[in-house]
Amino acid sequence: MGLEDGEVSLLKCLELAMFDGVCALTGNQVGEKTGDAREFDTYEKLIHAYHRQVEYITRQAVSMANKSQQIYSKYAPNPLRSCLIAGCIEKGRDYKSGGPIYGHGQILTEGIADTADSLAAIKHFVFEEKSISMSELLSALSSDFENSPEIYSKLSKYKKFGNDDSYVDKIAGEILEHFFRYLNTLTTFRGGKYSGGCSTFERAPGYGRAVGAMPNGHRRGNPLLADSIGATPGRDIKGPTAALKSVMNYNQRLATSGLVFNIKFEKSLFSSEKGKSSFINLAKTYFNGGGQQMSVNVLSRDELAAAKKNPEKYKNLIVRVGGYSDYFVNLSPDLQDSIIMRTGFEL
Amino acid sequence: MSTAVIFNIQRFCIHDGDGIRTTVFLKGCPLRCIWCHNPESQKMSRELMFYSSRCTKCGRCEEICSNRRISDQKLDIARENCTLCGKCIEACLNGANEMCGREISAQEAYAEVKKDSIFYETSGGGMTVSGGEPAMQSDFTLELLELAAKDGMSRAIETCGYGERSFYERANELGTTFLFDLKAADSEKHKRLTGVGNEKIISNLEYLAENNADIVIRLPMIPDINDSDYDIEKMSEIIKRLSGKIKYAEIMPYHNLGISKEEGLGRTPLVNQPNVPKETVEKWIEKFAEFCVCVKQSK
Ligand code: SF4
Ligand code: SF4
Repeated sequence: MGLEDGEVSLLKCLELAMFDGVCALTGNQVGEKTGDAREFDTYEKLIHAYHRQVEYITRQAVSMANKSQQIYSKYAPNPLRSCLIAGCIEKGRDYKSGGPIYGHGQILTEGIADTADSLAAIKHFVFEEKSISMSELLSALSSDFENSPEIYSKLSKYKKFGNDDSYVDKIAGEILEHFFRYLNTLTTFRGGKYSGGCSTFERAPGYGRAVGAMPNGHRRGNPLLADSIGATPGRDIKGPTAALKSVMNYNQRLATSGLVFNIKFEKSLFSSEKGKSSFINLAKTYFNGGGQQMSVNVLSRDELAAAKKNPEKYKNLIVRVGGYSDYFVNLSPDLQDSIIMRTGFEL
Repeated sequence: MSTAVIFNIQRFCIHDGDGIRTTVFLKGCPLRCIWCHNPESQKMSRELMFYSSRCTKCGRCEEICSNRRISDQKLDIARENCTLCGKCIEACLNGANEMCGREISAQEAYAEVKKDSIFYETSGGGMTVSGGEPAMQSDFTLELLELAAKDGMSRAIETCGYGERSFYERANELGTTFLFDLKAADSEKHKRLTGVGNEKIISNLEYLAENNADIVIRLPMIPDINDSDYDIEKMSEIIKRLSGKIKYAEIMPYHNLGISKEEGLGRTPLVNQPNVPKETVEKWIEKFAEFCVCVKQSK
């Protein structure tokens, strides 16, 4: 039985790996001391430090979860719900105390795409192309890019998860796999295994605010963080098939608590038979390819207006007019207005 | 191994043929339609696009390039002196500049197209080669079609019809669907609207029809430009003549999405009209029906 026991921000773990366990916002030592990143001469050494931080933080989360679950089971039992869960009645135990047949706990994760994008950028610029040194990178991050607009521009323009690019997608797959496999080695106080999932819902902004500047171009405290297992909002600019292929690349079977994938469409897609059948075929392909879940949003007029105001967040939004499509953010403001206004205008 | 200048490879295209498709957009077109919605596709050479709505007039690009001047809260580019060096693209932190056009080999382009194979399998889709005009960089287009044919992937081209006969011959041998434009039935008028007469186009169309090609006729319709009763009557005559040899004909109503791109290229659009309302398209369809021709609206 999965309980929402805790959550780990992978992006924060990467920050800790880059700053020897020190939080970039408070200056406190919150992670392990994994060494001065400027001394890492290979990407593997950085990944090693990152893994150690993830494992350390995950153990902290698990130990807190185990304590809080014990308190919950003692002071906040839920007999009605327990009656409805197989195993509880047989064992005469509340579901929070280990009544159910399956006693696993779940730790969720945040910031997968942001972390993968950051690692990809470091791998490329620092270790392969060597056009940015680790110490330049760290000082750019510490100043929230204020003194290094060029580095910022390079980093934010670099490849991002969600575009079916194997360089980044592979890293995303690896970090998710590492996290879930590690979780599986930890146990709940009820005796079950820990397992993972990813469904960020409204919590992502909080985690976004809790990290400093990052190598994917994330600015200090920016609430914009990856939406569940998808891309950082607005960074998947190659359309829905590419976005789906990126997330199909995860080993989704490891995530027994579920992986949420949100995808947005403009309403014109559903105004023609061809659009509808294409949508169905997208979904079919995703589930045939191992996808677990897909939440579909159809953009409202208000959201289009928001897209006009915050183009950064909506770079991926495609609109259609009579057999032709373009990115909404590329259109002139007038044209954007006319699309926002088009009501009852079948496209 | 052939290469071409392309300006985009767009995935999840659902309006250019069956199923979910990927469209390779080639640069370069022999026609100059006054309503062109892909103005960046006309010239074969690379071009600099500037999106003024993203420009904050920060002056960073002005510092590195003497062709760029900010005055009165406006950035001007002396395009006649621009060497397309791309430095302004690097310098700008707001992504206001983009290079349109890159050279790519058929193999590389095909590798990109193949990325969505799993979606083609589910939906019956495949590859569409568009432009610009695919016939203008014919070696590249034919190589792409061959690669797709070898894999049994559905393949289509969007063409204005103004290519060499040998190109259409070979493309047809390769089992290609032709999305074939018919812009005006009268050659004089065709010349005024697109820069060339339509004899070659009609002859290629008839050739394909005689040789069992898979043809969809597409009618770009622009209010007050090629939608008079006379225009529709003449187009109907051509379509009727080919009846039984084409799959269907569909109307592509004018839209103004090209305007911002035209401005991005530093040009002034020749036609700038509001998008066509549904009622007008229905009227056109009725008019065609009066001449006993059934046309659809594009999907
Ligand atoms: S491409 Fe080069 S020459 Fe042209 S405007 Fe940009 S910086 Fe100047
Ligand atoms: S660098 Fe970019 S934002 Fe700044 S003036 Fe040039 S185009 Fe505009």
